Formats: sequence, structure tokens, C-alpha cells
Amino acid sequence: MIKRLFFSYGFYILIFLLIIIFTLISNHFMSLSNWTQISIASCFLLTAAAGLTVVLITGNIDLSVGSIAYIAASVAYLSADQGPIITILAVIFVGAFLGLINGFLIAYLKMNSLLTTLGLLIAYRGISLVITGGTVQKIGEQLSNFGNYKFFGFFPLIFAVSLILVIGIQFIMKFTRFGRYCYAIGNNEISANKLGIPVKKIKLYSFIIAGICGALSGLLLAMYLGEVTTFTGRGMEFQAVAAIVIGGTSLFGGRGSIMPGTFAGVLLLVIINNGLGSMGVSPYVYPFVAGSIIFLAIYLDSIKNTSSK
Amino acid sequence: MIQKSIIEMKLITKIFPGVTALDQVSLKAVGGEIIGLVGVNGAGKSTLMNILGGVYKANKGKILINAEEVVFNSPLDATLCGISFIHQELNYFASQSVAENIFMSDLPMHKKFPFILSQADLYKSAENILSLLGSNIDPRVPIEELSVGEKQVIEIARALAKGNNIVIFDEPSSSLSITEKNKLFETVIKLKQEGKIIIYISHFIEEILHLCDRYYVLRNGKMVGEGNVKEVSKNQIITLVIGKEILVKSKNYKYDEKQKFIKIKNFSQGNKLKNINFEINRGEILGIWGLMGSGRTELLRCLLGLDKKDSGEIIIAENKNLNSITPIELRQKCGFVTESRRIDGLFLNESVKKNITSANLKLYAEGIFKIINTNSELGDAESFINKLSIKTPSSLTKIENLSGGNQQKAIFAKWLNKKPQILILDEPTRGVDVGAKQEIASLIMNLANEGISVLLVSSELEEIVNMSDRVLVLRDGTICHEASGSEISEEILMATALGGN
Repeated sequence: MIKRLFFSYGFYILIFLLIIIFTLISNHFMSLSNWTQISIASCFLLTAAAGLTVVLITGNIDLSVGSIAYIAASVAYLSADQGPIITILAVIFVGAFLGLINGFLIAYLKMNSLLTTLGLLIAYRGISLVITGGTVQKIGEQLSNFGNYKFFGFFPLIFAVSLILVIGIQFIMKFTRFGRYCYAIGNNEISANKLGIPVKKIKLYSFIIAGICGALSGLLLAMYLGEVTTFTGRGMEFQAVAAIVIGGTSLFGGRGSIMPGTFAGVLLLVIINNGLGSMGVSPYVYPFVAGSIIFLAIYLDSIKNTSSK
Repeated sequence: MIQKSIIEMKLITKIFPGVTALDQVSLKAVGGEIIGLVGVNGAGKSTLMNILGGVYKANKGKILINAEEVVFNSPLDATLCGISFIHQELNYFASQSVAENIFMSDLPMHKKFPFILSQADLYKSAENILSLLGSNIDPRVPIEELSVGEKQVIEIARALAKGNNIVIFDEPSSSLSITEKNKLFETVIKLKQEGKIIIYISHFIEEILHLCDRYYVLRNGKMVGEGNVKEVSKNQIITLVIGKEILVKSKNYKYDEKQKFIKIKNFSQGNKLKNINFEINRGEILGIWGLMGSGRTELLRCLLGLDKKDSGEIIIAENKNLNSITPIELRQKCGFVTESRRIDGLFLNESVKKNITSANLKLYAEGIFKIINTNSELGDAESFINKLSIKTPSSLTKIENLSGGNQQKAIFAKWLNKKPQILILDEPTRGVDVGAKQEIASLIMNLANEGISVLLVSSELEEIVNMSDRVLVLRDGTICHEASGSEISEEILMATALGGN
């Protein structure tokens, strides 16, 4: 019983403890301006991870989300003169299209999702490098202003966008037939097929959702910075997978959630970075701490999975 | 009065390449009755039911539901005609709730909002169906938290939810505890009262007698008997199942009392194995026989420490001392021919040579860097290839290119290379042709003559009868009979395994 409680809520306890520790050590950590900072730092990862969670729940993986984010940001640069509406629509379209390609290859041509999207991670990044010429490029000014807008002076617009996405996707996963089918496919694809669930279609949709979320994540980052840098989305796929798994979603599919799961996972990673920063720890230590926590989460996931069998 | 549904299978013939699996078999079932289908493994029960379930197509014959001919091209077609198949291995979605598992193919939607599920309807209808089955399982809990028996109830509930009228149970009780079995029987009787047609496949005759109204007996693809359960005795059914053509082979292998070698004491595991005790002598072939689900595999796995045991001790006579050893130590002393060689018997991508030497590589590892001496490896492999006459183009051929019989001989070579004192054989001749079968049989007998103790598990009765010096008959996880000498006959072994006298 205690063991189960620990497996299910362990990382919530960890977040809580970390917040207490950081608050006690650093007097800057609990300030409103710092939490605004935390929300900005988390919204990019949160947006990408929300869509990716759907793919993981069906038992697949999409490593190309970071590169899709970069392409989306490049599209924002290309359409800088067309006004914000056109840019936003173009970004969503590009995300959906790239997700469609991933999903088609994996669901219909039955390619392995890990290897396919690993290859596409590199290819998509290449496309963006061609578009941007591998340098920093400006995006439209209006979007850039939106990217730095804060409601009531402290609540960032971009965080609100990611929060709406997270809640929306969680709603879909919990209350619609599509959501149940995703879990069913992740649990037992063969049975799902036998029951007449449209397995291929559901998988395709899950990759489209991940593609759109990845693209929006890139757009949010470009809006915040006002420009597209070559760092956009680099390594984001791994951070996202880590956050998702920390949040309790299984790499083997069939179980997990976006809210509270993935949301808390992202928060944990961001709080660690932010807290260590406000404590004045050298930034070179962050990857070690974050990596250790990711390792712990994945280790717990595998224990959970082997013990339930 | 409700219209009773009737299903009829008429003169079904199914031919697989080289084998007539079913020969003009007919079966008829009416709503509200439980049909028991009996027969040994390979008698054709599964083939017949797979035809009814749409998995196979019959070569001849037809299926009538309510006097209308139906044709099934896929399992889905059969489902649409109201046929549900409850398999031994259950299909379920582990992390999802009981209710979702029941209604997964037909989730109830919200009446007002598009795309949204109605949770209330989902749980309510699940509760209704479960109470119909007399079960009080909470439809909200994840199905993975249920026991095997409860999961089976959910599978039955799924059949009911689809409104299916014909429910086929394939050996449903083999993985259940006694209380779960009783629950299952209650559920099946509930289904009967609902007016469903139930076909219940089992080789446990007692269950058939207890539960069913009518019985059908299949043997070698032919329907050899049918009738009312009330008018038949257990031994009559057993005779029908086994048939009369029993070949009694004279044994030319003489059993003589040699020194005791290994003693197995009090092996128990849950309700799969109950207090198993036996001894093996040097040079003896000890057969272990029992039907599927009797505990054969569990016993081997427990002995070798592949599954955890609740209790039990292994005592071995070494250098005139009696030592208690752990299953892992036993594994080091024995060779273990597993039942599925392609899965856990061979390194399919490797050469014959590497497969033969793989169990005793330390023999060839030389120096501080443990470099493999490939020459002596090759020499040993070739000598085994000659000795066991393994037919292979060369010792460097990939083993997956060999025939099943030669692969099996290579597995024997692998273990013999370890010079074991005990050989544990699980289905040693499965999937090999007749010729290789005999070669392997005489190989096993020769090894026993050389003093190796052999533990032989096989589902082929003939093999057990022809080779064993003694046979332990397992039923429900206990040794129900020990046969030796003239008692080792197909008739006696089958009868005791089925629970007769």
C-alpha cells in the first residue's frame, strides 16, 4: 500500500519537498516575478510534451517534435510579413502536416516509431537550417509583442496558451472515445484490432496532435524571443519524453495523463533548474541533477511495469 | 416463451496439408443448454471451434444458425452472428476500468454533447451486466487489479454486452483456483438460464459431468460419441475419449534398481503444485505425464528455479553424501531441453558450432583474457555432429537453416557437451519428423544406459509409454498415480490423468 502510494505520488511529494527546500534556502525563489519566470520557462516544453504524451499513451514515440518546433519557428519567420493570423494558421498547418507524415509512416507503413522519428528529427532540422540559412532570423513584431504580453502584469500569455492546450488534450483523453481508444491501443494493440477499433487511424491522429503541439511550442518560443535561433527545439524531444515519464506515463503505453502527469513532470524539471539557479549553483551542475531525476523516474517506471506483470 | 436459438454444424470436414483434422463432424446445440465437447489434445476440438469462430474455413459442410446458413470469412463475421469465444488467454486492456473493458467496442456516447462519452451510462450498464452474471465486481476499478477468474467474468460480460447468443468456452477452468472454478460454473449456469447456447470445451471429464447437459466426444477428427450427460458414466466417456485401438508395446528396456540419485521433497507452489515428492535413480528415465493444466510445466519450472516455489527441497547424492541443493545449482548440473526450441533453445542466427559449445564455453576460454580457443571448439562440435549424426552442410552453417529434428539433436549436443548427470526434457520431440523422433528416442535411451538420469515430460502419451521406466501421473498439481512395469500403458495413464480409477 505504501509502496503503491509512493509509486503513484512519489514525484508530487518530490516537487513539494523541492519547493520547500528552495524557498528556505533562497529568498528570491518564492517571489511572484520568479514564478512568472518559471511559467515562461515551462510553457515551451509543456506544449510539446502535451501532444507527445498522446503518442506515448498509444505505445509509440515521436522524437521529431523538437525539430518540428524548429520548422514551425522558421515558418513564422517566412510569414513574418503576413500578419499574426496567417502565421499562426501556417504553423498549425505545418505541424499537422509533419505529424501526418510521421503517423502515416508508422501507422500505415508499420515502421518502427523510434527509428523513424529519430531519422526525421535530423531531416526536419535540416529543412529549417535551409529556410533560416542557419542564422538568427526575426519574426513579425506583432507576434513578438504577444509573446511578451502578461495578463495583470504577471501571467504570461504564452503560458496561458500552453495551459489551455494541456487542459484541452487531457479532456480529450479522458472524456472522448478517441482518448479511450488511445489507451486501449497502448494496452493491447492486438485486442484493440480484434474489437474493430480503427487502430491505424487513431495512431495517425495521435501523431498529428503531437505535430501540432510541437509546432505551437516552436511558435511560442519564437514569439517570446522575437526571433528564430538555431537552438529552437534542440534536445526538446528528450526533455519532453523525460518530463512525460516522470509524470507517470508509461513508455510501454496504455497508462498516463497530461494533467496532472505531464504537467507535473515539466514543472519538476523547470523548478529544479530555476531553484538551483536562485540558489546560485553553477549552471554546469543542472544537467547532472536533472539527469539523475530522469534516471530515477524511468527506473521507477520499469519497476512498476515488471511488478504489475 | 422466447424463441430458442439453434446452431447446427453439419458434416464439417477440414483438411490441413497431410492431415484430415475433421472428418464429417456434426454438432447441434439449442438455446438454454450447455454442450460439453471432450477429446484429447489434437482430437480436433479446437479446429472445430475455430471454424465456428470464423478463424478457419471448413473444406466441406455448413453452419446453420436458426436454420439459416451462415458463412464466416473472419472472426468478426462470427461475432456479428452472435458468437463469442472465451479463450484460455484473456484479451484485456490492463490499465483501463472494468466498464471500459466490457464496452470498448461500443462505448456509450453522451446524449447532448457530441464526441463526449457518457460515464454515467457506461458504469450503469456495466453494473447491470455484472449483476446479471451475479458478480459484484466494481466496474470502476482497473481490470489489472482483478484475479484471473474475475477477468474471465469480464470477458463473459463482454460477450453478453454484445448481445451474443452463442458462447464458446475453451478450457476456461485450467488456470483457475477451486473457488474461482465454482464461481465460473455459477456464471455459466446463469448464462444458460438466460437462454444462451453454451459450448464448453474441456478435457476434465468431471467438469463436463457436473456442468453440461449433453456431451460430444471427438477422437482423431471424428465424432465418436454424443448423448445426454445424465445417461453416461465417467468411465464410459473416458473409453470414448481414448478409443479402443491402444497399442501395447513390449518394453525391451530392463529397469533395475540402481542407487538413488536425486530426491525431490515437498514441492509446492500456490494451488498449481501441491506437495510433490519423488526420486530419480541413476540411469532411469522418469516420465511425467498429465493433461494440460495438470502442473507438468509448473513442476519443471519450479525445480529449475524459473518460477518461485512456496516450499520444497532438492537432495542429491554426491560422493556418498546427501546434499541439499538450490534450483540454481540443479540447473548447473543438468541439461534442459525446453519445449519451444526456437524461442529459448537455440541462438538462431549463430552457427551450429557456436550453438553446440554455448552451454560450456568456459571449457574453451583460455588465459587471463578468456580468449575462446576456436580450434578445440570446432573439434568438439564436429565430433558431436558425427556422434549424433546431425545433418548439416558444415559446422559453420547457421542453425536456423537446419531441419527441426537436426536442430533438436544440436540442442542435445549442446547439453551433452556439458557432461550433465541429469537431463530434463520438456517435449523433446515436438515438431520433428517421424524418423528424427525415433533417433532422438534411441539417443535418450542410450544416454540413460550410460547412467544419466532423465526426467521426461511429454504430451505425447506414446512417447511416455515407450521410453519411461517409471511414470508419475499428475492431476490438479498432485501426483495421483505412479506407474511402473506393466502398468505403463496408454490406457491406464490416460484414465488416471482424466481422474478415473
